[in-house]
Amino acid sequence: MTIKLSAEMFDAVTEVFNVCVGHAARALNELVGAEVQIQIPHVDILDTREAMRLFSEEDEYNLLGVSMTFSGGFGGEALLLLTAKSVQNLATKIATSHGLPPEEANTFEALIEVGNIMLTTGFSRIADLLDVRLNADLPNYITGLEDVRSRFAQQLSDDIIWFRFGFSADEVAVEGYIGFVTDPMHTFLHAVEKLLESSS
Amino acid sequence: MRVLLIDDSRLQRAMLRQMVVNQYPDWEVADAASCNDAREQAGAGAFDFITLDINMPEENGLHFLPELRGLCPDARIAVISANVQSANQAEAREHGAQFISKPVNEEELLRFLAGETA
Repeated sequence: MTIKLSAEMFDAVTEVFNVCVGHAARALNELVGAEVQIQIPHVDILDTREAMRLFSEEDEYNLLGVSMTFSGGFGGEALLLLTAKSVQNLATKIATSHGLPPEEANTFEALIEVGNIMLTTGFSRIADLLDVRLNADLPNYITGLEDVRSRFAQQLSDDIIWFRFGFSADEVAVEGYIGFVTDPMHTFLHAVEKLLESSS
Repeated sequence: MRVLLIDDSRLQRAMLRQMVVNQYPDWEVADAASCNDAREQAGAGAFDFITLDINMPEENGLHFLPELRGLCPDARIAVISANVQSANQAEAREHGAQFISKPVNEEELLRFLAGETA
């Protein structure tokens, strides 16, 4: 049984997450030098079982990605997931646009660094907005959503907030999505409540 | 001039190095993949410019910054990170370092190397 948020609180949670969308997209734009399109973000409150089912449903592509655990003012996990073809295109584009030789187009390194930059930029902006300090673990390499499921199955509390948005950079044939899980949920909601109080 | 690039990402070090040598082909550019590696190199000789990542294995760059400042008191140091939280930027400035966000804008890096204060 998941908790229900008031309309005001749900709006505030959505707005807090939206702060990171533009910054993460801008980071990718600067890395690849191409316009980045963003799909409408979604926020869901899920229990663990629903979250696992959702990740199963979305496992329709051959996805690779990066996850980062963050902690401090609140905790959770940030995810960047890309199609395998996108990762290859990303690596090639980053190497060539920075004047690096072709052998520098290492897909693993490119994915880890892009994930690190996009995800860290995203939650850093949220931390500043909520006036908390967050620390991040090193990025983890993910091969498919099975990795995500196994990580989350061990970590998640009963209820989580799952925020995600899709993005694409058509010019360089890159597409994927970013997700943030806040867990436990109450510490994050407490920070959002403080923001609401200070702005009312 | 001597430059030290401290970042656990080989790709990031390669990109930074390329930016430096494009503008200053005669400068000596060294790199370090960890604070320990940087500690050894900084202890062995002076650097004029140092870039320092935050999120690295074994040791956080911000935690290492005061020691690095002691090892290279005359160096200009830039903390370079996607972790752009205000608290991190303030901590970098407290130790006399600039803060440059990732992805690194080449013009911003060159302004740092030209000795301009952000």
